[in-house]
Amino acid sequence: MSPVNDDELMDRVRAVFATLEPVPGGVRAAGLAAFGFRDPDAALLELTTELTAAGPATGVRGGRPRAFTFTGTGLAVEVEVTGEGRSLEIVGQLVPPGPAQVRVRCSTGELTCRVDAAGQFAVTGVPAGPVSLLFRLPDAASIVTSWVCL
Amino acid sequence: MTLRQRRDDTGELVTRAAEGDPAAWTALVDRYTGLLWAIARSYGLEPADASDVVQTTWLRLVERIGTIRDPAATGGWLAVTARHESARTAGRRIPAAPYVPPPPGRPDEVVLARERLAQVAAALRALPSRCRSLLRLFALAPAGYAEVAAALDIPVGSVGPTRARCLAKLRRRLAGEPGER
Repeated sequence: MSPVNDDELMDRVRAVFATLEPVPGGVRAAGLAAFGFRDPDAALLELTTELTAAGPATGVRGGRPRAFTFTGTGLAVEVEVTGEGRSLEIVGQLVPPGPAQVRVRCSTGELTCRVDAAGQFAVTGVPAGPVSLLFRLPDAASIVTSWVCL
Repeated sequence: MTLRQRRDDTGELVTRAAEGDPAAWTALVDRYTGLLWAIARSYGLEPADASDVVQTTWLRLVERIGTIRDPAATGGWLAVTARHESARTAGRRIPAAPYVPPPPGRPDEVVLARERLAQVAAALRALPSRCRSLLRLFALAPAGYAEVAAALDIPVGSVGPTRARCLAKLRRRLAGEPGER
């Protein structure tokens, strides 16, 4: 190869990565779609702890039970996730306990269920990928958990 | 564009997106998707996992876009978020098999040969992974040094010298010297 300066060499590096590892078109589309979840009125619960059960992973895409805690002002949500692939199960507890509607927002749309008077809820058939829970409380307040990748 | 202008411009885009301007959001996605993708790939994630990491990073920005304290520093925040999410995902996966160069004759290899880039591709594969990751960041992301520093978790001041060292190693490989791994 003839001698090249850093800029010319970088141009060739750029061409190699653009050919061998291009950014898939779906990645840009998903980034654009994320804006549709903007909800300025919802209060955000931050992810404060994440635990994964001990033991070997059972599949390429994970498979060990996991527990998450999301915390905000005066409110918390504890969530356990089991299963793998396209059929995860989410079992959760609202703290302090109380009734609400919960929408599980994920890559394929939304799953809805009721939180009972004891603050408990369960949702099945959640696909792997980014997930966030949106709670509507009896006083019409909205609360969202930070997005996590299940 | 200077780094100063880019920072200001990013801050303005974030402020407009926080007010609901979809064109500003599109501009942010177009500016930083390459950077986030390069970060996820540098952790050895498969395309499906890398896609989830990039999407999760954008969703994390959307959920807090109205309360960001320093909108101009959002590029660095995105890079750090993608790095943490990549490490988290990589930790849950069974380690991938070591990289095996594809057999000659694949369509992308033919393209490389036609464009006389095959040598550069081979030399990149032989570089230490840290250098390959840094060069991938510069190749796929028209990002500033601050974002690359955040992506690699190294001081901003060492990005330029590290890039120069990695290009020098690449140049030695292309010249046929074995070089250290």
